[in-house]
Amino acid sequence: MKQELIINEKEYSFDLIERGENFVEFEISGKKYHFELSKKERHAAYLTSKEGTNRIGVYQAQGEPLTVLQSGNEFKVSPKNSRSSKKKKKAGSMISPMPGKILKLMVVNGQVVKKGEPLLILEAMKMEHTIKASSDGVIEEVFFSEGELVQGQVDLVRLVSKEKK
Amino acid sequence: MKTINKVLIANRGEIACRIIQTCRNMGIETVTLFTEGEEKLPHRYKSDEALYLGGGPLHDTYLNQDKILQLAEQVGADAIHPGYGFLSENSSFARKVEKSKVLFVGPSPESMELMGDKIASKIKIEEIGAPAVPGYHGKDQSLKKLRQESGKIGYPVLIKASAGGGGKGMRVVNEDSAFAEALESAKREALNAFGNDQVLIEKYIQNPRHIEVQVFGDKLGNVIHLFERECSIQRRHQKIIEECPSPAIDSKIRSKICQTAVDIAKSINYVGAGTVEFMLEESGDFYFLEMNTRLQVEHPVTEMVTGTDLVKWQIQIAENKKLPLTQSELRSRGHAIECRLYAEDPDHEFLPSIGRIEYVGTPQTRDSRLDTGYVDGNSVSINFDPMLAKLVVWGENREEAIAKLKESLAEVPFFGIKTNGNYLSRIIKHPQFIKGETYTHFVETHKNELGPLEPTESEVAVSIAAYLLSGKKSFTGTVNTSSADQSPWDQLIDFRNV
Repeated sequence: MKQELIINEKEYSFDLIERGENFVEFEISGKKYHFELSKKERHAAYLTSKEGTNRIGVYQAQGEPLTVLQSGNEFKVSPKNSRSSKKKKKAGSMISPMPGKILKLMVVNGQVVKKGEPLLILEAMKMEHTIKASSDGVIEEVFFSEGELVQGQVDLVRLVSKEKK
Repeated sequence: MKTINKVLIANRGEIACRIIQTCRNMGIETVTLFTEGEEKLPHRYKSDEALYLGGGPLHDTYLNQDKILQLAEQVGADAIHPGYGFLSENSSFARKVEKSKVLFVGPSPESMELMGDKIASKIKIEEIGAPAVPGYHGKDQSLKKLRQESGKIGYPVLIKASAGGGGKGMRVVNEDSAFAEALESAKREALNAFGNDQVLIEKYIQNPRHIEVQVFGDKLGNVIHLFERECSIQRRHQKIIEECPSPAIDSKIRSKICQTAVDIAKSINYVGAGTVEFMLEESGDFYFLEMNTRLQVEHPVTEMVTGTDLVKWQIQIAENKKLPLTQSELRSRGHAIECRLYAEDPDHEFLPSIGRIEYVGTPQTRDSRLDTGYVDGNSVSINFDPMLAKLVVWGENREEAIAKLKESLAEVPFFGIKTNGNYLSRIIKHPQFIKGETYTHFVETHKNELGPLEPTESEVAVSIAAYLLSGKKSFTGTVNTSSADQSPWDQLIDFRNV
């Protein structure tokens, strides 16, 4: 049975051969893998194959991809087409990366900006973060004024990119 | 000679927990402070007594000098330990404590004032004849003058807040045309962070290493050093990996740099724990940067190689005791590395992250130590520094220490929030890091190699296996997803600007 997974935003397909309570067997581009779940601890598991045992870290919050930690490297695994595997980024909008305060506004409504041009400075965790234009275009609306507190993941300005016009 | 039986710790998080631990070992009672929203953090419940500071901005809580001193007197504390940050280098607080019956665990207010003022300290250093970085430390703060001086020093230059630290109010300027904008931004950040926008200009040294020397003085006039630490791996001008000894210096440079640090500390009659920071050039020449008049975040690497407890030393010195060891009795053995785990996203400009920590983990690797102020279920808020923990390992040599750190990092995943753990492990696996080619702009230079890596064939297979088994009862039995109803952004209810 052909299946597809997203690992760190990239697609991988494999054939599932068999899956039991404590083992799994599958094939990736002609290569067969057999893993046994040797031991499961809280947020850690030992997966044994004929090449040896991998101690991995595992964690999953509801609705989020499965996090698999392998010797310090992190892998986010989710089924293809699931909600959590889709990118949340909206084009043409500048989003506050985290809660903070608008320290300085460098643009006004209607201003023409170049890609990478600083639009505003957000202060969060006592550090300054410069929000830059994601593309060439015109600032249609700035949603906040200087000194205002903003939450994380909210639109800060609406930029209409040149290509669209 | 006053004996300390009870200490009020005017700090929070990992350093408060760290101080509690030593106090316990010494049979000293501890009193800690906590604010609104910190009820469940270990620094609140690990002490013998915890006092509530209420909510509101920092100057009403951890920076409220009069209240903290008053509380110390009320509970009958013999001493106040300020930790690092907050009031640790605040001379007016130290002076207030000095006038009371309570002892201050730290240097004199005069030392703090002198070394806290980057301009005055540079003048003092020049008096002693220790090397300082070429720069402008004058009072004329006009754009014209600062720009003119930068031209004289020669680009690239570094703009630094006079009252600064931790990379705040600091900008590298590569050319004259970028100077005005960088200056404005540095001044603004400095004013916000320190209430003072005075800056100084320095030559920006290419390929520098950050080498610092741990010094200790007692009230009898003895000053010794506890060797150097290299803290070249920094992001946003903040240290993230520190080690001892430095892979870059030989015994000749070591004895010279350590002696310079001792000379500086002696010249100001320094008492307690201090760190003299230098910039080391490839030629082996070094320049004085600044002296930090407190215990450093990275002090554990020194403890690991010297077998000392620096918090214990601090307390003994506050009691007017002699330094526990002489210079010739001190030995450095093996190699120690510390890395700082932060709640942040290294793949997106190191933006701080917040949320609930589901699982911290415990390092199982031999000779490793985790200093943290968090336990499972705690939340990281935007109100404080996003450092989660310090992971410190010791090895017979650098190679072994790196291997142990790699192992230990995987054992403390801090699941539930975005951390820099993965990024730290990419750094210590980097061939240039392994070779000891560590410069302060390391993360910038190797930016592309430090980005997320393509999974290998075997990593893909293990990920798939984990995914396929994760739906099984044998696997999910103990996985905890209780955080589902509490999004990190729920924190915003408590949002306040500090």
